[in-house]
Amino acid sequence: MSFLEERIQQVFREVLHNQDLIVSDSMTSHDIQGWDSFAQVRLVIAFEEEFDIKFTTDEVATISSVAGLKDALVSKGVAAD
Amino acid sequence: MELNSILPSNNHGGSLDQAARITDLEARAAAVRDLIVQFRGPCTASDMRTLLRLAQGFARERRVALELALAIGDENAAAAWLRGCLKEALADHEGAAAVFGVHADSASGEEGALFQLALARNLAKCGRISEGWHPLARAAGWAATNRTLSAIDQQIATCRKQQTPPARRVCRIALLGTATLDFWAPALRARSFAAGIDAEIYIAPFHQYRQEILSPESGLKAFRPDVVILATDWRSLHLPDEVGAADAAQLVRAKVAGLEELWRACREQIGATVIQHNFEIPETDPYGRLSVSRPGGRGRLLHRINLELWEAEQRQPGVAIFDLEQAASIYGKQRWNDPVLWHTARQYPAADAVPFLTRRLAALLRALFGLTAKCVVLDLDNTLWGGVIGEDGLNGIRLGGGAEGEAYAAFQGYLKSLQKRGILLAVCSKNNPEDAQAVFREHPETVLKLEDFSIFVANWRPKEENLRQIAATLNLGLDSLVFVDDNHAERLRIRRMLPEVETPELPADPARYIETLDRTLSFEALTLTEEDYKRAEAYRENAVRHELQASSANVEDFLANLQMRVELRPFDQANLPRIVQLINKTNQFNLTTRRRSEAEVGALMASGGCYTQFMRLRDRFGDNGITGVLIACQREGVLYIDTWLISCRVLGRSVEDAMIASVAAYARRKNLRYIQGEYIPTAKNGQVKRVYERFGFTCIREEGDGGMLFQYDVDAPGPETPAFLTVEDHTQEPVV
Repeated sequence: MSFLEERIQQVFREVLHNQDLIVSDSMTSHDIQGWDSFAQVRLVIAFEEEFDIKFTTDEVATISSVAGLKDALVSKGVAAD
Repeated sequence: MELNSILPSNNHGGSLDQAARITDLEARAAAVRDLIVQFRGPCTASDMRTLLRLAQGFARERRVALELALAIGDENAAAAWLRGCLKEALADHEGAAAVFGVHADSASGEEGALFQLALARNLAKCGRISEGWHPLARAAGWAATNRTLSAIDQQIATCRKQQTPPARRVCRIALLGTATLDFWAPALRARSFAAGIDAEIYIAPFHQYRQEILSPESGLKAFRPDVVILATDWRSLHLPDEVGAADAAQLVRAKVAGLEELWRACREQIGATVIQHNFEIPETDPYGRLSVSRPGGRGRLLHRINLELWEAEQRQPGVAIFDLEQAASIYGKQRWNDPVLWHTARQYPAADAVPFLTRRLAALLRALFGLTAKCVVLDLDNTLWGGVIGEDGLNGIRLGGGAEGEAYAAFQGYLKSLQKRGILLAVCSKNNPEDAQAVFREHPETVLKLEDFSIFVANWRPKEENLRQIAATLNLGLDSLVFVDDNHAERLRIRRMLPEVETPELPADPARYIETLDRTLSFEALTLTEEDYKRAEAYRENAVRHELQASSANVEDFLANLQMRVELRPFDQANLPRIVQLINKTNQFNLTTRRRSEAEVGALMASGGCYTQFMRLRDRFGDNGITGVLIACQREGVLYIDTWLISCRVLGRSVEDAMIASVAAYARRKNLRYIQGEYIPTAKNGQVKRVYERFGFTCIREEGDGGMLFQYDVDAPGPETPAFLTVEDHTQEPVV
């Protein structure tokens, strides 16, 4: 697991209150228990805080997979490894 | 200086992030070890999170983690933090707690919060939950991010399953408003906990605040809140860009009247105190400055609505305005608003502002429940002047004149103003008393004078002993003190030994002392009463009484010489704030410790079914003010004393005799044969367990928890009021 993937997993674990959650690139919001529309906003806020970035209106509405999240982070300058 | 920005001086490359990317675990551990050992400067929260992640990674191979923990010591905060994290990841919770415990009180801000939270978490895992409450409260006060506040909230919830958290006040708070409020709950619970308030929070469905308040069977009503926070935002007022000048006044009145209607409903139908948010004057406005310069511009209307809200607060009991406009200004309106989160999630203010907002809300809650600080305890050297008086002398210290001296004089001025409105000042200094007092007597630039201090302690004893003495002499709990000292070691010592005392982190520059003390928000108040303005004077008068007592041959002589006059009256609107203040903060002589908000007391008065009494004590040396409260209600043919409390300031004066005699007189007039009084035990009121027996009451029932019910037959003679008390009893007259 890369450094970035570990950070992403840690945020999911904190927001969804599940320290045993395993998060992988192929997962979408359907695969991760607790990732509903309300959690979406909490996740957005948590990722903004963790990586010191801001998502756009479009991203907030459409990010629904781990891969999509990772792409958005990298596009904002977060190191991909 | 961030750990991540250290330039490489070894073979393993630069920052923590780079070290974290080394794939071989042993090599990664070696890189981290080298970075940590040579690290200088403070460890930021971001570093701490990275180190936590690293520790969890290392723990996948026990040997690597153990070796690393041994290789690094306690040379700096980063090393200590990493060591603690490694021990925790290795499930050595006692070890982790020990490591975190050493450093937790040195750090402040978000970093301090992370240390305190880690300490509490590991203590809980060892089963030492009761030791973790103070660290959790500290963490909740220091934390600056939502994620940490949320983690603290979670930890409190986890520990609560095994032990009830200690709290100065338990309450139910309802959040209603026009934006998404769900994010506030974890943060507000944590911030309240930091203030000694155990809050259960109900969040009304989005934008349903009117329905929840006005409809007879709402979730809000079922929740029975003590406090209702009405977080309506400026957009919900639907003000147009501009109205005609002639229509402005009416529009302002209508908007405020709409809110007043809701406050009335909260008070009358729910019995809750209302905290009403006022309105942000938004940064962006297509009218620019015209929005305020035009008499009907939206900005101008919002200013006028806010002003009228302050006036409405004065008129309406049970309402406190939360100054959101000021909060947004201080935070910075550009950061306060996040248009993306507003459009996607109706989040207002921005999520990042919620930690700041909830700290200010909790300060208001403290004021509401009478939990604010009452006294500032001050060091002297380099706190109230620059330099050391014992070495530099009166001419060498910097006070007034010159930039540094001016900063100290300004700080003294701020403290003087606090004192004038009822906050006590105390000195706790390691100095010879004569040297120290000379400054306040003789220095030409001193703003504070000797008589401004309610107690002046200058000696060479450990400060925790002196702080205890100060609290005892002023009859205050340790949790009513704020300790200000420029010396980090002293601050650390007091945080450790007296965790109930608030010890803010003081910056090195005296120019920043005022803002540091101000930002504690520990002295907020809802009202100023006569008692507040005269508090310092009252303490001086008390000192004179103590001298009389010391010189009296016996107690009877002392009491007779005081020439006490007791005035008893039913509750009235004018004195309601002070009565409510007493109801909420008196702990020792308090038989039933029933806390009531201004709204609830007002409702009780309006219902007309109860006997109410406040007691005011004057003597030769001055007016002690309103210092006793009693409420008695008829139930089942008996007069039941629901509330009886007396301020500790006037205990031992036999005023309780006068209060009870008046209740007996009332019972006889109403042909009620029996008076009942109850003792409900708390941690602080043990001294009054049997006080009813002194007046001829007998115990008719004992509860398992130590509670007792006493009864008095009014056909029996008495109770007598001592001859040295002159009593003016207005409670027997019909209330007009």
